[in-house]
Amino acid sequence: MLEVKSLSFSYGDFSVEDVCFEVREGEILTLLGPNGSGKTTILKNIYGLLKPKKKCVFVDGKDFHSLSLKERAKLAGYVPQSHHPPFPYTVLDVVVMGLASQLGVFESPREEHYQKALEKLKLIGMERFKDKPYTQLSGGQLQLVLIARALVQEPKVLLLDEPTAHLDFKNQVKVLGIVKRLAKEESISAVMTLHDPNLASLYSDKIALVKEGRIRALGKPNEILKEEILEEVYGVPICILEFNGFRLILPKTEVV
Amino acid sequence: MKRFLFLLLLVSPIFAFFISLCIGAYHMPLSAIVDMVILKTLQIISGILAKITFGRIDFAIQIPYPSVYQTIIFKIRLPRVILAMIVGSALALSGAVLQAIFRNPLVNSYILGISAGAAFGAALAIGLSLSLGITPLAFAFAILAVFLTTSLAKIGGRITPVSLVLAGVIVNAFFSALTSLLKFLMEHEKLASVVYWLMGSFADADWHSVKVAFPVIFLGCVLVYLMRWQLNVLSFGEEAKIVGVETEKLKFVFIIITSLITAASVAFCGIIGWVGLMIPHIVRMAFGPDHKTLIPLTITVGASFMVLADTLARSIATYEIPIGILTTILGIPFFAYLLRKTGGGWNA
Repeated sequence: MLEVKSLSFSYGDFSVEDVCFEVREGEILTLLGPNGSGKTTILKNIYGLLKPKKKCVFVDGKDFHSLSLKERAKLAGYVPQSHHPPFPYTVLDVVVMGLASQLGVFESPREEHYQKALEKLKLIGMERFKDKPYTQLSGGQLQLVLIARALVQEPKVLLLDEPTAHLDFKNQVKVLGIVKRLAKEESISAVMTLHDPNLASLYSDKIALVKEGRIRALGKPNEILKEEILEEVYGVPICILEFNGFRLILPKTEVV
Repeated sequence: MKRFLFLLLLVSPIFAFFISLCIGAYHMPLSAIVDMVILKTLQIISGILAKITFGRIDFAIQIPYPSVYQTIIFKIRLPRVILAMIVGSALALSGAVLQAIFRNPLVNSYILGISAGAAFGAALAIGLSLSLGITPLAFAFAILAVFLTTSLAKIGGRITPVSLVLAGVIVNAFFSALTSLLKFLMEHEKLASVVYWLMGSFADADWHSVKVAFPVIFLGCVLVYLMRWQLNVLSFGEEAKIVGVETEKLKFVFIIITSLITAASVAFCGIIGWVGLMIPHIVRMAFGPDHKTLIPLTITVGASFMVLADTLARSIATYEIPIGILTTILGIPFFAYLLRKTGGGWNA
């Protein structure tokens, strides 16, 4: 279980204040909010890539930030927004890098490690790309490879930074579907950041609405995705339609 | 086919070693040379064993060849060949390591200020006719230059690719200016020595230089070889942290190793350009970017290339051509061909 207890951070005149939530095993919590609201900052603070003001992150009751990078990597996987490395490594080479925390500094991965990486590629349906240069993949495939790299760490906690950025409609649904499935099957506590309230509503167990570094509302999608809260967070008029039990969030625009 | 080429390049230093030993002004048959090298090796090993077991050497394996053969091979050619090989390995390996950790295709160990620092040290030793000699001073200033570059580049506790390149440019410019000042103030004969030193040469190679340079470079190569997979992870930059790698510490260790092996090379043979840039690129274009294969191949191809280039440098004309000029002239057309053919093996 991941617990975040009053996380605060400041950098320049931007600050994150008093972020609290917990994510149980198999649950997905989505940090939802407009650009620049501090979603990614919160995610980086949880992992400790940015330093919060005091200890505030606990995994299974353990103070996460007191652990070394190596020990942290064994407990938690982080899926960053994809960017290209300088060399065209193969997909398998990239995925096997997730095992760095389990290898000594003088060790290179052996057959068993490549097998493990291959298993995770199979799990997300990417094994046929194993020998392809990572740099020639499409955005959706890249995202899946980065998820596979986090999975070989066999994490209890998975943090995903905008897993749907730059993806088309099909790939958004595919990637989030896989995240949802993995969280359940592997009993992972997942935290992700998203822009789109509809995707958040479909794939999250809990949503934290973030505005200006603060959580404005936290709860199950049906409880908190309400017109007045969303209007306050996004600053645009919004209407919500109910259809077959789904809630569709739409901006109220004047279409000419 | 690729597997075969891989193995061939891996053992290429052995062939390069004997080819280079055979070629020279004084002609000797290959069979005699191979024979002598094997006998000499046995002689040394048996000597060591005898010393360990009996405490003294009562007998020695005889080498049945004229003493002029033995002098040329063991006193002149062998130290030179060995020095050229280890320097080739060191320069090529340093380039591969720094390109990976700074994620920059244009980096080699000279970007750290090593060449300019060493050049200043050498110019100082020559200009002041110091009895200490060129090597210690060149080495000391090479290390000083690296220290200055990395301290300058360290901003907020970490060295970024851009800050390193800029700091390297600054330190290089500073030491180049100092060297120019020395050259300007120098007498003509001394100026000629400085200019010649800057072009690089193995002409002064002897067993002393091998004894000093070999342990440093050998240890450096072994360490980098063992840690080679970490370079894959480090080349992802900040992302390496999220798979559990202490990037700053590891980068620091790699910078120390590459600085030491480059400085140990440059101090003995002057500035030999292009090897550190060219060899890793060539290997990467041919065999891909995985450092598990890139590092061992860079070490062996660097050694083979340098020793063959040096063989040409000392035998192509009646006088010796500075090796730095030759490595460039030989390497560049091939490098250019590979660039056109493979697009560089990088993501620009």
